[in-house]
Amino acid sequence: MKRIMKPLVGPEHEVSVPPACRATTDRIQRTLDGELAVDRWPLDAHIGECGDCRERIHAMRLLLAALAVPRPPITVPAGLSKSILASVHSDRRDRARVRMLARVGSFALAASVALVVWLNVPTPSLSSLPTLDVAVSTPKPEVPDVKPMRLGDELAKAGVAFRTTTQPLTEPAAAAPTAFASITNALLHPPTPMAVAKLEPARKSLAELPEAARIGFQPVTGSAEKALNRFLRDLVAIKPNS
Amino acid sequence: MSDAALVHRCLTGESAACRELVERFQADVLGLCTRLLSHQHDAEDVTQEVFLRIFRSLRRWDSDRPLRPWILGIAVNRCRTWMGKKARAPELADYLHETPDHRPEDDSAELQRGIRAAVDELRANYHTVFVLFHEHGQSYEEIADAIGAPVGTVKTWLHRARVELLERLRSRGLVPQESNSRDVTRP
Repeated sequence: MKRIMKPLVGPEHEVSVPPACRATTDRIQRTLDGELAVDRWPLDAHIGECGDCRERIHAMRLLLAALAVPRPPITVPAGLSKSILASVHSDRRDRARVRMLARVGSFALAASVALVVWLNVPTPSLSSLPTLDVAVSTPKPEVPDVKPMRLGDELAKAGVAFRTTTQPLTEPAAAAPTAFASITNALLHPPTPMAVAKLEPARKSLAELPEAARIGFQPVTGSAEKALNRFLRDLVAIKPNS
Repeated sequence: MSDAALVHRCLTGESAACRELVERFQADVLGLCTRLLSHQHDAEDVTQEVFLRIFRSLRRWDSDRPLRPWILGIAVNRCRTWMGKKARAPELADYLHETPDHRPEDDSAELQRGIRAAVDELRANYHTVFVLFHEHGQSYEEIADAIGAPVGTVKTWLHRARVELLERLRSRGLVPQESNSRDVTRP
């Protein structure tokens, strides 16, 4: 762009401004910054003698005139605050849910590891897991249509769900429901009478969990969260061979 | 109620306080976004994002510092991100969102538009500091905080913005070309 006038003096030009002009350039700067009103400028003979300063002052006046033109007012659309607040609340709910899932997922992982250790079940692959057939190791099931299930498989699924998730462990939200369902299933269909006794506290606290927390992990209420915490505490407290 | 007290109430989850915070700053944020993005609908979308960020990071606000520059800083950052996205994915049918202006023309409206266009044509950094300083009344220090640059850089960018604006206004014929030699001892 072609320069058509003496430029205003900026911070980077200060050293190159002749000493006699510095008072004027300083006043121009303060005026543009809104610190000094034009009508408060002192009479200064230097301005009459210096063509550069006259041009600088002229540039300042033009700029002030342009800045004085009022901007069109910003009208806040009706309902903007309402839609902002709705999105803020929705965001809070989503984030609370993710935090809850992450927490549950971490506990569930710890619980599944604890159970696997207790049962001395190797976890790396499903095929290498020992099978604990309910139909073999327990008396005849009271409900005839319950299919025999393999506790080791269920626990391994919990571990696999975490290992195969693409999310880092700090965000196991996607895997948490699967892991939780696997552990729940294992608890509800224990392999031996001995196991039933050891799992009883965890089973009891599981029964106290609201359905919503059990199925969807919705962070429904504070009491649901407390019940979930109790369940996870009891789950992790199961000790091998205790 | 002070900003600090309002933030404290927001952090306790009080809905009325959240509403008040939005209502206290929405015009500022929307105004800044509108000026930086030059697009009303985009500005409204970004304003919404800005408040999401504000509420997410409210705990990190340092109550020893003023709230408004902190909020405007978040708005500047969201606008930059938005402009970056727009630059990567230009919207071909952008003109569809523009509402034709059928108001009668007059000189002041034309001048307003000319000045606004000249300001909007400033390069992004100059534009941001110019709008924050001259239209939102932020100090050099507050702008430096908001955009994460040293105060000296802010001063330099603002000066360059002024010079560039003046040249653009001249090239558009919105300010006279000739030098003013009257009243030489008074500015």
